[in-house]
Amino acid sequence: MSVLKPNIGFFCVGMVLLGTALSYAIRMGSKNKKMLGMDAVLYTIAALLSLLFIRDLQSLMPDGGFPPELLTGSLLCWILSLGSFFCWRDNTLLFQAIPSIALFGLVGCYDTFRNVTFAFYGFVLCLATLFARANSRAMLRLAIDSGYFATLDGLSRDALEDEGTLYQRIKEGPWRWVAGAEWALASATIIVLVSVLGAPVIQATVKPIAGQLSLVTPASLRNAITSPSTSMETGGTVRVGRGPNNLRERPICEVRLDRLRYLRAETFMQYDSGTWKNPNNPLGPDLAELNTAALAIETIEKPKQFAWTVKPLIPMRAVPAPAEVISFESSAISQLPDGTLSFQGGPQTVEISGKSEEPESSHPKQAKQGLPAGLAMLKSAISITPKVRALAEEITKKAKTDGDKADRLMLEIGKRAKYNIKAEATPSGTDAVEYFLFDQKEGYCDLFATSMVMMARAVGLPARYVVGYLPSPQRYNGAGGYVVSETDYHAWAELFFEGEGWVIYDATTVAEDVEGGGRGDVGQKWYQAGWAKQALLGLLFCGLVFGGFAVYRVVQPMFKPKPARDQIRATYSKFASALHRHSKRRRKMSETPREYLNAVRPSIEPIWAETFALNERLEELLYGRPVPSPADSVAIAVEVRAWRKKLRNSKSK
Amino acid sequence: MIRRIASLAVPLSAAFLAIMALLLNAPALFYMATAFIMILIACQVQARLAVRGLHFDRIAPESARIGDLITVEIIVWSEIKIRRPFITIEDDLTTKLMVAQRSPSLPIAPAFDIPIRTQYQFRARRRGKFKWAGLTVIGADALGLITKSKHYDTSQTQITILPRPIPVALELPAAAGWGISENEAGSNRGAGIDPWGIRKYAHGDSLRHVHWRSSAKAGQLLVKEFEAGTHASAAFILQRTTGTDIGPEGQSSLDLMCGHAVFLAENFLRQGMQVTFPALERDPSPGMGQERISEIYDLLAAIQADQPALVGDELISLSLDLAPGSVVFVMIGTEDKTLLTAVSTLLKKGTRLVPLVYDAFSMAKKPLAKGRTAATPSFMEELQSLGAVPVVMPIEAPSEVIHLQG
Repeated sequence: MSVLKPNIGFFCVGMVLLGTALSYAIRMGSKNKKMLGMDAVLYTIAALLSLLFIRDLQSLMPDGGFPPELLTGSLLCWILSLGSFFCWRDNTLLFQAIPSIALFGLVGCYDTFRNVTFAFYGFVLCLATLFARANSRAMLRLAIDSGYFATLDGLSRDALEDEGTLYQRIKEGPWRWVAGAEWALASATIIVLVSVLGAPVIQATVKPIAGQLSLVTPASLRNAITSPSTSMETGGTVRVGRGPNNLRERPICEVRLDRLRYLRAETFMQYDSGTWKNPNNPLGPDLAELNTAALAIETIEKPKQFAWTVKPLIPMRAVPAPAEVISFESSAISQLPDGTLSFQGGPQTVEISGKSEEPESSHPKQAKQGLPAGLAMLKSAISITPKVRALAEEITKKAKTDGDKADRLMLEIGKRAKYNIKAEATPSGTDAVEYFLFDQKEGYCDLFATSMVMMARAVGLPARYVVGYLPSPQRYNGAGGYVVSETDYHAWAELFFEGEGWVIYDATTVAEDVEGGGRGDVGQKWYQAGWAKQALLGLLFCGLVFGGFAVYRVVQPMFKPKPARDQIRATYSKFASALHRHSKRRRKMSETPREYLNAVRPSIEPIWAETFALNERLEELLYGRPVPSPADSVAIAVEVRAWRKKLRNSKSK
Repeated sequence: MIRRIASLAVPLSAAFLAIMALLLNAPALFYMATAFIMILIACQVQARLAVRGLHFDRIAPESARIGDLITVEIIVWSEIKIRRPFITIEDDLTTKLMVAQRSPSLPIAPAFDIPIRTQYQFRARRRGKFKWAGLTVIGADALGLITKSKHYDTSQTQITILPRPIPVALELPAAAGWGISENEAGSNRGAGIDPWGIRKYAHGDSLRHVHWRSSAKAGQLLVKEFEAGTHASAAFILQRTTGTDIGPEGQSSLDLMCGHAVFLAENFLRQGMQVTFPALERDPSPGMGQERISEIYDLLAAIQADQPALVGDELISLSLDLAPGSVVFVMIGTEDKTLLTAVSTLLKKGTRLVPLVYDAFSMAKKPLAKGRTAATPSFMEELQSLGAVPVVMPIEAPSEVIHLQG
């Protein structure tokens, strides 16, 4: 799943199931212990063969096997698959845990399959059960060696050979109270639940020191990640309509702003068949002369400046910044022709401060006229289907100004389509915008922004596609800053207006959300979902009911008058405890009160007579007839209290 | 081995996943590492709790013979009301016991206020009275990943390891008064030759006493048993002078003497003789049954070569306590010249005395610098010249007796 080749997964699961079934059959069918003991050797041979012939074995896998960079994953899969044929004993079966954990770790490192966590929890439960059962069996072997079964009656010679019978017998005896495999499974389940809640807390706690290492995701896996990758990382292109979003809550940077703002990371002008291309990118066409940033600054009639700071929490290539950047304090970054900032020489975590400019008040009316020839692509009609053009023209035909046109277009998009972060991908061979507006009618920011840009261009408004971050107000850190996470990754449209420069049009702001598919749901954990909250509340309620009942059961006897004999038993316990403390000799389970008293006699010689009498009275009340009355229990308790005082005094003397 | 690796894999994986999670800030790794770390913490807690709050009572047999399988039962109960995983117990057995074939203890799960019994078995290789107290509880979590141990003090337990009878074919010469008919020797002159019955041949029986006719009929060797005479008695004196016990512990010359002594004593008692150990008991009981045999075992269990007196001096000092007509067996491994004087004195008094001589020095692991073995030709000749008939005893016990190895 994590390498986008599910067939490999099915192949490996099939192999492991087959191997396990065969191993089980061998284990059950063979009485030859020597042969069964060979499994470890055979397992090692299988692992070594996997290592030596991994390239050949790789070719046997469906879909050409793992990507070459992830040959380790292939090796682990083959060790697991071949090894499962030789898991004839507990020990070898347990050994399978090692490649399994390594495989989970590998998937976790690249983080290309989010559901791996659930698979891992399933694995943990199985592993706990397996360990517990193996431990039980090891203990059974110890029990056999201890000679316990030889002392039992009624065990035939055959029964002594049969582990099942022996286990049954010992379970009825000294193992009756053991916390065994069931307890291990129950404990592991609780642990898993605690981990589900605890892991995000731990991650948040270690945030300041986390993320020091950046793992280069193999190129073949990049498509598996719908994360804030810049065009630098994706070869200068970004596809839209890629299907369900899997962004996570990972913090990206901290920004200090005067108010919530869109943070521009990269802009795109060229669109073709569902893909945006960045002309500023070194990998794209050389269009460096197209300095849209300077043009925008020139265009703003009444500029207003504001300061900002961006502090990357993970190594970043592009620095997200608001509006038109006019200055910044760092030599580590360079400004691209479109005004976006990027670190020189690869991703960095240097804090950047700067100033940006925006119109004092925004009332876009007239679209920018007389754009340089090189910026003609801002109005490019390429990839605008007739249906989309017709729709755009229809909507804007009554508009009085360009600004009005843009507003009408944005409202129409928001009316037509719903926001759904889990929307399915645009089918191949279909125009993404047309499919979004007329068929699917749901999607997330990329399709909203692309539609806005294409429809604006269709009516002659210069527009571009922008990606960056829109911080969530919920992550305000209380000190004028916001923590920006992956889930804040966003796309929007920018239209160029006279006197205004680039004006943001985010059609998602006027669209309705599909239930559970809204912005923010992407990073929402399952336990934050509505149904999960209800379930947790239900569980909490059940817990409270059961907890209350348990407390009641513990507390209730405290208020209920005890039978007299129980109270006398408690009094005797105090009597025996006092003797124990005094004589330093504990009463053995096998000793009667009188035997115990005789045993400690030398230490209580000075008050022997009354101790003996008291013990006799206690014995009579405890075991004699008639049944003592509550008054008796009170009386003897008083006597014992007085005796304890004497005992203490005798010691001090 | 593989299980240990697998057990080690969990903590190592937890550490590795935690480090990688931290370095990469990868959420999936955080979940995995947390789950593993939580499991390890839970295992630690469970293993720690497993060995706490326990009480013990030990039940061991009062006595057992060397080489017997001894089962020690330990009653365990929990003071804390918790469900526990398995624990095993390692008893603080004294090393002096020279334990062999010690089994592990039965793994148990102690319950609150309910006594649960565990047990283990061992064989002792050395006779003596031994005491020990204390034990160590080894507990693991339910998964068997973490092991903890805790030492507990317990009440003292004592066990007496009795010598094992070592069969020996003792061809006693008639000159020593052995083999004379009751008619000749009189009713009070010791072992007679009047047949008392026949029984199965046992290892160590003399071939001279095989009843061939009965054996031919029965198809198995049968030997004659003899009436020893109502007043016949045998006294055993073992050389216990300091430094005369030679050989490895548990298989020394004194151990061999004890083994032979109990074997001979048991045989004599079965024949109706009285058997005494005058150096070890003041007033020997007159009984001849199982009780007397047990007494003898008990006497010989505890003796050590720790006496300052030489064997000859001891013999003379005890000569007055000997029952009239007793045959005195003196077991000696190291040459002791005082024995010559004692033999001379006692033979003159008419006491019948049989020196049972051991080549003790050949039992030593290393050549000994001091002293000489009793089985030297010169010493034997000296004994013979005085009129005694020394018998050289075999120093190799039958294989089934000295088979005990760690």
